Amino acid sequence: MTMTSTQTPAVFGLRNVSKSFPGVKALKEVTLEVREHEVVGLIGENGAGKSTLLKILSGVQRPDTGDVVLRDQPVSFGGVADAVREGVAMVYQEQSLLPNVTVAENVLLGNEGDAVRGGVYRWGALRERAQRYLDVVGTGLDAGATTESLPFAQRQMVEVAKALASGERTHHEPVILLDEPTSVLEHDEIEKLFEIVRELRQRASVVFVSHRMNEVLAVCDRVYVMRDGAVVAERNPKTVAEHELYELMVGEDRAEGFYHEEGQVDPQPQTRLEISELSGGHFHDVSLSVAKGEVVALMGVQESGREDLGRALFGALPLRSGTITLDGAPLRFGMPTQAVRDGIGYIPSERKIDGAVLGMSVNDNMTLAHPDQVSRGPFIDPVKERSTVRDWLDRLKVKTPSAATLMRTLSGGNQQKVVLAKWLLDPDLRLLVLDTPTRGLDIGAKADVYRLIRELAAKGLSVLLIADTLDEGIAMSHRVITMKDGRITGEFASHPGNRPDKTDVLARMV
Amino acid sequence: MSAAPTTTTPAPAKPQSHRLHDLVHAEKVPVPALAVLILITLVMLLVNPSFLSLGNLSTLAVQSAVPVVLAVGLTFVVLMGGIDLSLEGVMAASGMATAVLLLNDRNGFDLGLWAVAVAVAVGAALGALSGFSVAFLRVPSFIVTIGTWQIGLGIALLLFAGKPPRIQDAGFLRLAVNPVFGLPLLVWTAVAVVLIGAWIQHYSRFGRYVMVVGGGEDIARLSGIPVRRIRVYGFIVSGFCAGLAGALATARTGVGDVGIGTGQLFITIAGVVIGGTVLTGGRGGVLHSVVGVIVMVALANGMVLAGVSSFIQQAVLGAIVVAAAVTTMWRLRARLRVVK
Amino acid sequence: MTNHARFTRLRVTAVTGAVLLAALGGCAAGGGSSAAGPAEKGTCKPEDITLVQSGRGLENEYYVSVDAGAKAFAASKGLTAKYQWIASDGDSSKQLSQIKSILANGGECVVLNVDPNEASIVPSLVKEVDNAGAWLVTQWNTPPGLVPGADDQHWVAHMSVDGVPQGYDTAKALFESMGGQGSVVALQGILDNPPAKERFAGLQKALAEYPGIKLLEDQTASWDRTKGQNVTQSLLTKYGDQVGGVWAASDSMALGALAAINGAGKAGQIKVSGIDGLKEAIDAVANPNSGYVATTQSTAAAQGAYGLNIGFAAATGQIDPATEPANHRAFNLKPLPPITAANVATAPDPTDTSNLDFADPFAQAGSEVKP
Repeated sequence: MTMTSTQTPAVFGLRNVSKSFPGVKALKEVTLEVREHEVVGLIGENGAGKSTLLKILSGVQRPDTGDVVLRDQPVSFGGVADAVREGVAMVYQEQSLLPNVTVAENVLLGNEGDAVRGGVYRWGALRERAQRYLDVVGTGLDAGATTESLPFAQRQMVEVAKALASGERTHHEPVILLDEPTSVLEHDEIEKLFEIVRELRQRASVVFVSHRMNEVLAVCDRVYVMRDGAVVAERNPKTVAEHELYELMVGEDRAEGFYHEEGQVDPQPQTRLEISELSGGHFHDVSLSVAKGEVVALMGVQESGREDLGRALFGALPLRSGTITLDGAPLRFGMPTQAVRDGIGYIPSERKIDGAVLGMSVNDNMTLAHPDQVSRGPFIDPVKERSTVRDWLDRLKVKTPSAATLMRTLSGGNQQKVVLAKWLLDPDLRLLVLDTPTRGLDIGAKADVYRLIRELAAKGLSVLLIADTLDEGIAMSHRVITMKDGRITGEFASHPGNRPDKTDVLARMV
Repeated sequence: MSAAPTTTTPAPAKPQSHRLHDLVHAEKVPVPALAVLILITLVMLLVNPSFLSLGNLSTLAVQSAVPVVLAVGLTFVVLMGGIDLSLEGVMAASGMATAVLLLNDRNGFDLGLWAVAVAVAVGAALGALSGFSVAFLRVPSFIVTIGTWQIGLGIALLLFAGKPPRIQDAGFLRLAVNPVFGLPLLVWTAVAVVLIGAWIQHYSRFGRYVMVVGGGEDIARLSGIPVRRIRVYGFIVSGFCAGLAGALATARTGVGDVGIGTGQLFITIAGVVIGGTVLTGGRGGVLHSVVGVIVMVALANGMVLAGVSSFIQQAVLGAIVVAAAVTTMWRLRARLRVVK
Repeated sequence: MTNHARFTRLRVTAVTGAVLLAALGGCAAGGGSSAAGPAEKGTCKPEDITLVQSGRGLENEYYVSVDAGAKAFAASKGLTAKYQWIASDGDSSKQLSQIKSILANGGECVVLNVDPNEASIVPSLVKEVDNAGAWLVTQWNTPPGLVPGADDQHWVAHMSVDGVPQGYDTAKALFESMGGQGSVVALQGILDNPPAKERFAGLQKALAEYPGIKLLEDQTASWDRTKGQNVTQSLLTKYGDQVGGVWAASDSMALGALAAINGAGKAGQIKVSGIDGLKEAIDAVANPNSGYVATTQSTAAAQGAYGLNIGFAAATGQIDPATEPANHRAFNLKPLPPITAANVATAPDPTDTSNLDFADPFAQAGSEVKP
């Protein structure tokens, strides 16, 4: 599809919108528009202002100056309900479905129309109406099922159906906002989502926000690039080079140095971690070893067993059989506390639930696992604590007003950096297990994390990286190990300038 | 990866029996509570078969009537993640109101069944008070309803004025005793309350929105659902049922008694929990709570029939409640975590 | 062991140690010494005296009668305006703090007639009263081994009611009404309450004298009317026609049993007896068709009135506690005949205070309560 810049009318957009929060100017005079029957992509680092922009588009926040424009009229949304009523609906990154009611109720929540007459539910009519939206979005979705019985990917599709249903409340076409819809999906589910988005384009306008460049390029008609609160460019994804987009996003040429491949140092000869015929969770008879200072990438799709392996190494999942040896000494754990004592750290994929305590401060989160590092005797030394925390915040370039700020106010990327620092505090750290540590992080944060992993590996830390993307896994590691259906299916050596072929690796994963 | 051509074949139309399937499906039926009830029945068959005699079953029905009515109302509050501790106080106030408004030995009122209407209104009013405080003043329900409990007791005490009013309206007293199709009208009233409660839960907007609020209040709010209003209605329903229960209990004893509700809170809450209406909200329902309450009543009755020593009956009841609650929550343990 | 582990263990030990020290230190700071005042007689003028009656709450008919008796006494001395009733609502600490604040305001001319919620608070009560120089009479509950002794100037007397004759008399009346033959079931009060135990002992004494009567089973109904009804229903199901009579340790439970019997269509056929003398029970006894054959006379008014009377006498110096005999310091009220069909016509209303004689504070003192 070629760019038809002035022909199709604009449906929704922002005009010179600015928004500030205490200490931060989140949006600076942003103007953008979404046109009929198009998919508009939005890319940029976290802190670039994407989430604030989405919040304004969806009605959660109001702009300080400037207008939100809907069908050529400035509108003011009093809240999400207002926006929904006008036909603007968001599909959230963290699921916003009620687990305990039927799919039909979720899809039509607050929007049941005449399927509920006089306060009485007509279940047949409700299910039928919901099914219509579900069928647009995908096959096999049953409006009568209880929502929590659906697998995750299907629930994501129900969310899209819900947005579609609420968007169609008005007589006009709806505007659907997708906020990182693929960040928790695996390969085939992502393809399905693209199909859905292409379907949606025929009856709605879509705004698609994603960190994954390839996705935005694959499915969008136009792309806006944001940086530091402003829209810096608008491009046609079919004609623009990825390279140029990276530059626009970070303001510098990052493409090559992104994975800091020059920092890759050969591992030391001593074996640190030796796993032998380990079984537990979804994995069986896994044997592998990791050398001191080596980064091993574990690649696999959903149900490959790699996440379970990571958890088991940390003692967070029970083992059925097999042995683990760390620096020659056999390990027997059942509890993460033991793993911590043995110098193993673990960063989970579900950061908000398993990694960070959102209600505590940045300071407290960071010192959580190793309070001994900031203590003198049995008490915490405030001076030592302050300086250690400040040190790490600087090293990892964490953007936060202060160490006392609550964790929940930080952006996802910054939260993840604090979680990382939590483990890195321990000088005796021997093995770090990372489960998709850069998922949801912006480019800058990702680059920082990669740089850090390189530095630590060079100093002798062993890293088991359950990688987010093929690129990441291949570029960051000394070895790539693939898993499928709970077993190891392949192993590739990986050196700068001699990286394994992506298709070869993928072939072992699926 | 190439994209396969999109095929969106609509799902086959579900027949009406789908509705029945839904009701029977896993969580719709309180399996652990029913299992406990069956277990009790089997044990009693061995120990004292008169447990299943028509006379005893009738006794069980009569003794369950009041806590069942309480449980139906309480369910709506618990489904939304709240709790209503004021049941005993509301029963006291409504029971005493019933006693002084019916033909009695202390004053000249003779309102007949209108006295029950007043009693129920008293209950609903107290419920509204609780509801407003919880929903609009944002005071936790645990605290508010302890307050309404005391208010209810206070009202009852005022009406009591030192001398218990004895009901002389024979027709009303017959409610609790005279069999209509084998069981007193008291029991049929409770059955009607259960049926209406179940209908409300499954077919009314209020009932479904209660489930929604219990499943995720933030999501509900974002979808434009009037969460606060639903909360208030929930407490009004609970108060209404407690008021009715007070009137029914007073029909059984025949006298206005400030302590008419004593012990009912334990039975009702335990019954609700055992039935599977989890105190965190969003799960279970009216039928679940009713089965749970029947389990509690059957247990107490069974222990007497089995000759269990008085000294340990309370402890046994408590232990069984804990065990049943753990069993019920065990199945939900995994689901209570947010998972991908 | 890594540094981390060693560190954690050290910290845990240190904190635990600190907490233990603090706890022990706290315990050491114990109660102060009790002021052993000089053995002096009361010197209050009648018009300066404040009368205080403390009980559970007026939702209970028993306390309504206690209050009536107490008020009658106050009226007889012209002290109606200086009479107070305080409700403890079953909360021991509330009762204690209420009394403390009254003593703080009133000083040594306060007369307290207290029904302690639990026996365990009696020593604290006595201490407070000693400190303030006021005058205390306790009812019903006292810890085993503790009664007003020669050293207690301000704890004037302890009054109770012996439950054994009550249980015995009503049981006898019940058995007689059954013709001395048949089977009965028993409803007990809250099992660890002294009145419950005493009354049940009375029942068993009567059973020993009536070989033709068999006790099928006893269950607790916790002094509660509804529970009495429910338990009786279950027992009737269990034993069917075997049950000829129901003995209950209180009228409240007995009235519940009566409702169950009526519900089973056996009104008048199964006999019932209770204890406490509630008006409703008396009326049932008066009704020859009810099957309710006996209850006891209410002691509530007497306990209220005489409790204050004795305290008043000590406060004004009319009596000197130190010189009173043991059975004036701790006693049961004189036993009263039970109420049966024979004497129900002349049975007094529980709130009737007309035959209380305030000239002699110890008019109703009966057997001694041994520590």
